[in-house]
Amino acid sequence: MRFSIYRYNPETDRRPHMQEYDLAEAGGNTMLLDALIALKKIDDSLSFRRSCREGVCGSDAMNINGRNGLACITPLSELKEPVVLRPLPGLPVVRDLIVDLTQFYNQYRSVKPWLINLDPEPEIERLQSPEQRARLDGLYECILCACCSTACPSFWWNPDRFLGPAALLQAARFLADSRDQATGERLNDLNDPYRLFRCHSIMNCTDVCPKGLNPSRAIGHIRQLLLRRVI
Amino acid sequence: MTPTRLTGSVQHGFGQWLLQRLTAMYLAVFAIWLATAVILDPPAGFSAWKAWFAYGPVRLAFALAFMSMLVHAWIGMRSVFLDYLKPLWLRILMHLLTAVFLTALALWSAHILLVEAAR
Repeated sequence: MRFSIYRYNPETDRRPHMQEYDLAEAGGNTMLLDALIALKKIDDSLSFRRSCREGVCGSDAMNINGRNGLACITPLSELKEPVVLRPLPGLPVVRDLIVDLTQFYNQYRSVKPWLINLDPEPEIERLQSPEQRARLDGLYECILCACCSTACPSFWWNPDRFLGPAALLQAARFLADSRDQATGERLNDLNDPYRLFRCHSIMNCTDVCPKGLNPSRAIGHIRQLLLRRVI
Repeated sequence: MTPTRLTGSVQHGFGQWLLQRLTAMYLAVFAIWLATAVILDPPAGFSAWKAWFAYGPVRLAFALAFMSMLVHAWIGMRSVFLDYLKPLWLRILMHLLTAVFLTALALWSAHILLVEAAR
């Protein structure tokens, strides 16, 4: 099976290049990550992140044949040859398929992705009804792989000021949480021409999310909350 | 690229987003009404057209459409500048040029609606 992989080592290369690889067909239900690990046995300078190898950690997000996804849950049988692998678009490349996610995490952190509740801590858990808990479905499952944000043109143009779909999904997750008491502050913080309103509902985020989540709808919910506040 | 320090929220932007949608809705309804009116009952000649346009409710509908268009254009152009223009001076310049152009259009619209139509 033929691969064309983005190679760049900032310490030795003047510019990135694509390197061709050939790998014997593995057949069966082999995933792309297995092929990458096999390639690394041939060429140990090839660099990529991976950890859980089952779509839970989000480490091996990359651009696969022009589309962001997780290598560990992408079957080789579904890919057209040559399989073109590039790092996630729009972020600084550390080496080969490894990108610098600092900006992405900064945006994530800026939405205060934790429960804000100033009541005295109860002796047991803070209880939720099954309905209240169900409102977090489709939001809490995000693994922060960055596939969505790096597929978003608005995030490409303004990664330093637009939160990006991943951070906005998390903002929506804490707005939806019945135990959180900072709804007003959170909405104030999102109401900004850049932080929220660079989203033009392009919906690349929803298209690529490997966990099947819908950041676009979550952003719609945030806008609805802002609307309810003034009307 | 060194990560930029985040500057927080200016706490506005929702109003513009809402206005863009409201003006778009009005313009859509207006466009359908205008097309239907002109196709079903085309004004016969210039004087008929002028009489129709001078009629109060019609002029009001046009006035609202002109205003919607100006607001919609301003928010839309601003959105494009925020997306694609990086240097601050270029952003300010383009905002300024757009503002001058839209103000000229506003004055022209007012002249048409208040002076020409009443003549």
